[in-house]
Amino acid sequence: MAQGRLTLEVITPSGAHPSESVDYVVLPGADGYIGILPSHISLVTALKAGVLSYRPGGADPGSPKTVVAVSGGFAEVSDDVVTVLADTAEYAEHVDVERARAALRRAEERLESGKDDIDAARARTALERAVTRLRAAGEDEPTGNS
Amino acid sequence: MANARDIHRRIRAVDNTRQITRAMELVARTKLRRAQEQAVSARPYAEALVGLLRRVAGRGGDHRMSPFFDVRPVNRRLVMPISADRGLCGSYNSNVLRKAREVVGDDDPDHLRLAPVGRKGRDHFRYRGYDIYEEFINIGEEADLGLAHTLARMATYEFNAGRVDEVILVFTEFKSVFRQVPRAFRLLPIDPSEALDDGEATAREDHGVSSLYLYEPSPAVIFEELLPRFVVNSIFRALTESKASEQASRVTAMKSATDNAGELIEELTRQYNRVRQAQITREITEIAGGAEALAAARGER
Repeated sequence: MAQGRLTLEVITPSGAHPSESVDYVVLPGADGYIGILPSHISLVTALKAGVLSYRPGGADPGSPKTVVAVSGGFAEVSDDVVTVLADTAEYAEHVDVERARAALRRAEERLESGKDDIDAARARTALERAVTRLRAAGEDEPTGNS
Repeated sequence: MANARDIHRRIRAVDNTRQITRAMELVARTKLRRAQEQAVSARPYAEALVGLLRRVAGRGGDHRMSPFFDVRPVNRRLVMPISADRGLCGSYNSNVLRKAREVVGDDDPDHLRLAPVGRKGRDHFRYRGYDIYEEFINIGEEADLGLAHTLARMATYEFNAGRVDEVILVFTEFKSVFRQVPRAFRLLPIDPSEALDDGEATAREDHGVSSLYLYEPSPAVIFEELLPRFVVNSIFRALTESKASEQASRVTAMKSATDNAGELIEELTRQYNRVRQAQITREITEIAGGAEALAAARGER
């Protein structure tokens, strides 16, 4: 491993993404975004739905970050290895914007019709997920804050 | 004695069936490969999840405090047998459903809730007069994470609300393409020995740097977040294993059906040739006899 680099591993139930050497990682932690640089203290954190971003190792500091939409899970940092256990992980370039928009609309409708609590809770998670995906894809949020 | 035309018709019929079973074998083979890939790619997550669970467990306070580990006298059980939607896969369905019946035993309806996954299981139990508490059919050709979530939601709700005291999953373990073993697995309460170490291994690991872990927001919260995912993942694993088993079973069944059809065709072809030969011989004898008779008649004149 190169000096001063992190190894990032993103694992979901449907498979592990190939591990990458990165300069830094920003995680959507349960209590807010957490930035991880090399030599970070060992850490285990819960993740909420949000945008995970990182800069591939050795990339130009001004170059755009790689962005991944994750929907909850955990991350573990230990010995410069960042293991992300996400429920789902979607790389920005793979986000289907149309589908995310449609999901967002559906979730909003369901929230407005507001039946029982369980449905509302599920609609809210669906909404969060859709917003995250759109944000990862660099699309503006059509509805302002969620 | 069958005549040549009947045998010929039969051969054609068997050959048609063979073409179908061969096609089904090929299809199942493709699906099997996909199912195996899926089972393999689900493994890293499952391993990492259990690893994390073990590391966190030691610091999350007493795991016995969690509702997921609540062992209580079993008055009512929720049994979820995972079978296929379709047949034509050898003894796959009957094996797993036999196992499910063993698990169910002779529990009377007051102590049992049945939630079959897969149409064959639903039909099996309904036909035998069991009450179906909840059914999950049309489960698709691939293990579905969404289905795993739905099942987990139901199981967790029933268990944590105290409506059942135990949740048993009956599924088929995929050992190899030639061997699949039905298994019953207690999903809830979580068996600490399945999910956690006895603490010693964790303690040993903790002597390294890893004892300096920072927990965000706290070990207890992370632990409680991990458990539902452990349940979902256990179900998802059972689904992937079952799907791979189903397709493997179907490949084997269709292959032997194709082979049997081949043998049958061979046997029938032999029979057909024998009958045809006999017919030709008879015809020749008849012609020869007729010719002789004619010759004799002419000679008399």
